[in-house]
Amino acid sequence: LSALRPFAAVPLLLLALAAWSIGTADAGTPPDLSGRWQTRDIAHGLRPAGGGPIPFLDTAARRYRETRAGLQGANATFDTMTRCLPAGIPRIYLQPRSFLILQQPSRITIFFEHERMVRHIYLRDKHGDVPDTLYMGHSIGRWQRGTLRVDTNSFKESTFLDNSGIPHSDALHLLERMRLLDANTIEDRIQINDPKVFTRPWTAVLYFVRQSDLHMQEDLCTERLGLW
Amino acid sequence: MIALGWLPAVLLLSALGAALAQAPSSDPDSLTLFDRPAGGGPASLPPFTLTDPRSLQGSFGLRVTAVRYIPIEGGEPYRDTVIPPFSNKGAALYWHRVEMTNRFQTIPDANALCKPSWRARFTNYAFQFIQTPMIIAIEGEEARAVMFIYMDQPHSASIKPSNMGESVGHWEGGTLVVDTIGFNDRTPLDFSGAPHSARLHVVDRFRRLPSGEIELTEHFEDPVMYKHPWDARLVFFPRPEADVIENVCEETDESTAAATANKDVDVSGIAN
Repeated sequence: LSALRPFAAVPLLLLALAAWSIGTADAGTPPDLSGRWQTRDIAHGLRPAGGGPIPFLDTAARRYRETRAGLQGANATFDTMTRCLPAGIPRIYLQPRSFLILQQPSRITIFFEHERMVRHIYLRDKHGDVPDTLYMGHSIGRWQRGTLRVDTNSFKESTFLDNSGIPHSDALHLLERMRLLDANTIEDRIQINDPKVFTRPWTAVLYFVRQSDLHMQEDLCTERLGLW
Repeated sequence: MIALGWLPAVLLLSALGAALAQAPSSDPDSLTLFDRPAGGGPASLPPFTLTDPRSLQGSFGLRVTAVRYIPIEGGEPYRDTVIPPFSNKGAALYWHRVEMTNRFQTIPDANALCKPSWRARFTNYAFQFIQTPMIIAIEGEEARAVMFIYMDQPHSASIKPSNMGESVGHWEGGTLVVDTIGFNDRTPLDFSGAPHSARLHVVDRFRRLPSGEIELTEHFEDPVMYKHPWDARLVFFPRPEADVIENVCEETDESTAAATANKDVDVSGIAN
């Protein structure tokens, strides 16, 4: 036994090595999200993943009821999408059009067919100076155990979170976790933080389904809506 | 800045109109305004080492204020410049657009209407190459014009005509060769209004130069608007500081509505 004593630490070393190799493999080779995707079940809109109502503040709940009724009415021009202004995030995922993800080591770019909007997710730790508010917000991300964690802020206030008219303020802050469930499905867990509109953060889940054809279709919104 | 994204184009067209107003309306010499160095380009390029000739990744800029194609092959001399070999139909459209510019009118340019077009790929706005093995995207900030180049595959069996057409590409050594068809006929090729039909076929050849610049030679074939094929050349300089940002031209719908009032001349009765 005493002869084996020098090797007593070997199992621990092997365990440590295994843990280290899993960690580096994860950091070095994230799953590839590249491809053309389309959101499943868009008619559902955004709902709390755990069930229950959306935790609106009272004032926001009233605003939502009015907005929802207005969107179902004949005169919905207050909806900026009727003027071909960008849907914003996450509403743009809830349009009946696909999007293309191009994944690179330092950036993930999402090209949406809808209104030809583009979302850049910079794989870094800080937002830096964002000179203006944006329809699509400003996104940074990093990989963690096969999941892409995305932090987005600097939103314009004029968009809705989904097609039913869920409002948000300029304090909107989205925390997303995107991961491949299988080769053809991405799960996007979106935590919605906005203390001016909601009593607490809440999470909605979207699923993106891989499309077999990579070709993007050109969307000319103003022609589609007959504007110009 | 975003709300006034259309302004540089209008100002430039106004400047062109003012310049042309001093000369006979069809005087093409005035078009050399387009060829004037922008003054925005760097005096010397940042240090660059060409390690991978097949890397086009990054942001780039133009050395000219806006693109007017000056053919390097197949063009026709006109005064002290060269113009594309317009057919009768193409010439009628082109010179009508020059006249419109001379009258301070915006030509029916897709970009003035916040729509993508061939010329909107490369402007004084930022544009960048996003390169992956399966797709190379050239993202232009103006009008959110993106050229998707599908690598190592044939064209689709059935292409829905579009402003940007359908592009497929492959590498020949260090040159990216891109073949584009599937256009509609509703966009100009360049800032001066060079027309094209739905039969336009373009072959682009992108090559990274040792300086870090990208050279693009373009081969145009369009038997409706041009008498014969012609080639042009552009050079892009690296702008590592210039990221493409969100551009929402549609916020300025008053200007775009005004632009819709300007119509092209009807050339349907003109023989090629």
